[in-house]
Amino acid sequence: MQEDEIRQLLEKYRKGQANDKEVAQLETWYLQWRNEPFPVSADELEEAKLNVWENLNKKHSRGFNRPRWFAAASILLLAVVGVYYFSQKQPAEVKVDNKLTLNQVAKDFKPGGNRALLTLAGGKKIVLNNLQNGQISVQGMASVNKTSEGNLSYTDHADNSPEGNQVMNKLSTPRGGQYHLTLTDGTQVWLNAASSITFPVRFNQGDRVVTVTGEAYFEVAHKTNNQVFKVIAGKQEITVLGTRFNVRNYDDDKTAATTLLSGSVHIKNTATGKVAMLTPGQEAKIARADNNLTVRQVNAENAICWKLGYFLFDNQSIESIMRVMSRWYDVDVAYQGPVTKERFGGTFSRSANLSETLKNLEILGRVHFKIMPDKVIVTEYISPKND
Amino acid sequence: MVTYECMSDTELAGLISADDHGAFAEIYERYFRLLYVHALKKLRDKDEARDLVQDLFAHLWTRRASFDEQINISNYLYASVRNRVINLVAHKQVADKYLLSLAVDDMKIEAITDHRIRERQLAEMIESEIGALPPKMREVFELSRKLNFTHREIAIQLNLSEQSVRSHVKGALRILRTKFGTFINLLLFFK
Repeated sequence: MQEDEIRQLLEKYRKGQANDKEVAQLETWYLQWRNEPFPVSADELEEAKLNVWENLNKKHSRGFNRPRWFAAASILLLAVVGVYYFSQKQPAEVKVDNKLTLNQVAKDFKPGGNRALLTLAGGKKIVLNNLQNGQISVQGMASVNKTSEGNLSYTDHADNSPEGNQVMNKLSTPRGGQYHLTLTDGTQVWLNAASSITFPVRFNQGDRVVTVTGEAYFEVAHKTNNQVFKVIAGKQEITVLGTRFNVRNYDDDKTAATTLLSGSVHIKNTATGKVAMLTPGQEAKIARADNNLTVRQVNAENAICWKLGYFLFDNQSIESIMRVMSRWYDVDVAYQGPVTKERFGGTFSRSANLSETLKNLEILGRVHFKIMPDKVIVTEYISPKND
Repeated sequence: MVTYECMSDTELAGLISADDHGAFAEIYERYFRLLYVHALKKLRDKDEARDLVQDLFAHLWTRRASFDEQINISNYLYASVRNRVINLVAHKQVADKYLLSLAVDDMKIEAITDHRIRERQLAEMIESEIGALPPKMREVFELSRKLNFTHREIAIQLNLSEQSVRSHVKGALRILRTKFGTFINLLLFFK
């Protein structure tokens, strides 16, 4: 086969006129033609890889703009209080470079809002989100009102009436929900996402007892007759008179906690019977693994930042942070490959979209997120240059 | 827990045809370097090689819905890169036929008529570049595609750590490839 023959073959091929045998000849020639490696450095290779990916991404992009979130990121970074590096060997440098993924354009997840479901004594369920303000129901001697957006209030109509059977209601928030509840005794409860509270519509003469799952912040009204208020949250039994505290008891967290802001609480670990008294600024934790109850001094206001509209992370693993994201943005989280052991910290707005919050987290450590239509995938950020 | 890294090419192809971006990203991760290095070797021009591979992946995504269930992603990609290079060369030599040398060492080569052998040889040639690639990519490529096994699966089966599986498999593959290569050469010799 001479060079001219190959040219003729190529010409035929170009015109789409080559038969099977000619294609075979050409493809055989191709196997031998220019077989010496062309030098390319690892850096160049990675650069080309990122570059092409970015171009592919642009082609399929529907308006997700990099510079926009970079700008947002830098503003929010001002609020960041700290980054904790746990790993010893890896340099603690901040990676701003991002491995682009097609998935960034797929969908964004909006922050949560005032969403909740009320279950009445008879089992009837009412979705509160789109309900008009006003009276929703009368439960026993109490009326239930949606007083404003995101607030549900119970009013007792028979303060000194004889005791009847306790009528129980349940307020639950989905992932991406939060709600504010006022009980008949004036106690106020803020429910975080993926949480619930079961409570009597009016309290009898005995203990005021409510049951909580997930996370809730209480401002318990003090009763002149020193009637105690009891919160049962998993293994935590919290007994108070009148005080402000936050209780957290998510099944998927490694610890359950009660944080006291003012007054005093008595906490009992019902699994072991161990008790502790908390003074303001203290937090009691129960480890899910061994039921061990520990008390430590904390900045208690941090525990209720969720109620004030922001996330505050303090020396936390990416897994524990992602559990919070999952609840607030109503999104599933999956992990791909190794996950960074770094500890993260910082303050982030709860009203930002998920992509924005994740971008800010990416800047803090060796972590990378892909937003998929139905979930977020967490991977370790691998610097292209060290690959 | 979804881990694309542990999936075989075939599984990924299935997901891609169902519009899964993550699966597409994983295929890109596995093959971009090989295809780019190959295109570069044939074209000797970085911009041309980059554009060619970019179009190739864009095309892969565009026609994802029409994937055959049994699609062999690697063979598909290798054939695509070859066809695209040949096309480009064909157009180029029209523009300036004397600038581009088409000569090969042995100009007497016979056409390999069996397309399956050509396919294998092409894969051989492209994958031989693997040695020039970063080690991490090599491992992932060899294990996930060539063996169709995940690190974890091998580790569980052999009761080894994932790390040692990696080094074992790497050694084994090197030997296999040498043998496979000889076999192909013999076939050609006796043709």
